[in-house]
Amino acid sequence: MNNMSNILLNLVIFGFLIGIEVIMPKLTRKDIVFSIRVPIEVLDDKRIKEIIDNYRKKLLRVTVPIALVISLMVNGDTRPGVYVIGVFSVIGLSIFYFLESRKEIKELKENEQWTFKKRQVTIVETKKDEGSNFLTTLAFIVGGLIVLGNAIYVKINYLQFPSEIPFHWNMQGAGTQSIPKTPLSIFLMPGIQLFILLIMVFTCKSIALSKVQLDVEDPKQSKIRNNIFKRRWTAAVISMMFLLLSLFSLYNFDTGGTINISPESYNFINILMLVLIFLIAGITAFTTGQGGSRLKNKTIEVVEEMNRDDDQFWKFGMIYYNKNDPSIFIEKRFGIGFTINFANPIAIVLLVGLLALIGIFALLPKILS
Amino acid sequence: MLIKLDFESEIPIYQQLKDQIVMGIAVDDLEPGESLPSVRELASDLGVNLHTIRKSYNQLKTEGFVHVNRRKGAIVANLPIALDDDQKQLLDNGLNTFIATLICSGKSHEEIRLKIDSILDRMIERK
Repeated sequence: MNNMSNILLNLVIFGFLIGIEVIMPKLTRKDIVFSIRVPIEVLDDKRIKEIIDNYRKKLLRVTVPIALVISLMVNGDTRPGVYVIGVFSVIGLSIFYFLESRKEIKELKENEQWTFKKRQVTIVETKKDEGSNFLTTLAFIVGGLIVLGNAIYVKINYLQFPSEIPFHWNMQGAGTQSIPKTPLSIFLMPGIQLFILLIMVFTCKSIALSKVQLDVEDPKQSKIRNNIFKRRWTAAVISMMFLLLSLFSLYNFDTGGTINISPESYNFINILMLVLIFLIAGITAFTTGQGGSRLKNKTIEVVEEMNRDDDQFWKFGMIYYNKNDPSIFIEKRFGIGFTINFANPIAIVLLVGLLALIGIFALLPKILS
Repeated sequence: MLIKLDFESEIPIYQQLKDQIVMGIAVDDLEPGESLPSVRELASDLGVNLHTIRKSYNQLKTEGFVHVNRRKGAIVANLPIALDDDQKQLLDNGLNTFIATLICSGKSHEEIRLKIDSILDRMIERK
């Protein structure tokens, strides 16, 4: 039975991964095809549709067999290495096919001189958003209180904690790795929660700060779409934060002996949590699209201008590198969510800081013991 | 107000930005007391250098279209703005050259008057 649920879980994860990559061409901004900016009236071009179709076919043909084989091979707590290889090969292959398709679109665009026929512009709105982030702040205060509550809990219930504090579990909730109990090491779980909170605050801040891009076809509407896009992702990140904080609170109360979770329940809770997080991300991405491109909007009229051709700043179509642009965060061109301007020193410092934070997190059990 | 910049134009970006803000003030798209986006915000959304925006804002400030508040940043000035003698001279020169160029291009006096009238009408319409 456990084996069955493991296989099922693997299939869910791979299904999500492959599914997202397959629909990715439809999640980008409307005038972006495989990270190449095109005028919107060429979107109906047969050759573009063909390139998208081919990308999907090629991707599915290779990744589905890999996913099936790996899903059946890996069971539960054995061989996580194989699993990681499986995930990375799916990601690697989708990048490979993405680059291939991008090259084809790029050549098509050059041959047809699509961008030479139109004036390229960038539009900004001078009115500032009065959008209050009161709810976001409130959510983080509540999150902080949850962490604090957990910290107080371990302090008060010090004696109830076992001599070994587990920090790594298998799917059945049995601790596979642990550190000896000390007055400091019992704070491991609140420490993990604090880390989650910090990452989520950082993510929401970067969403709020990310570059606003208006479409020349309907600047006013696209401003609204942009705001909805940012608001929904902020809400998604906050929901994920609360899910994770609750999960680790459960672990904490279980270790402390206040509650007793059976292995079956552990299994169920873990799978449920994973599915929920995937669902939140998947639904948000699918219903909203990058920059709100999948939100309902009025029929777009073709205008004389097109959004500025900024392909040159997207290295390999994935890495934004624009020395002149003081932006730190920008939405991904082909992908879900946000990335940084790699030409901005502040962005690099933040990235290094984030990596350092993750490093500290990975070493947390060592540091505390 | 929406500002639209053309990156391939012969007119430099700072000039386009300045021209459009002046136009926005003239037709009430930007109201006196309204604050303009910060230099950083505008540069970031446009994807241009901070200096470009600073140059526009500085010129707008020198010419009296905006004043800069320590807390609120650049704010649209009250109308009418007071032109100093240098500015009046510049405007006169510009206007003269503009009309002279039209004459050189073979436009009749009537056509030139119509042209100026139509520009004026369009601005009043947008108000």
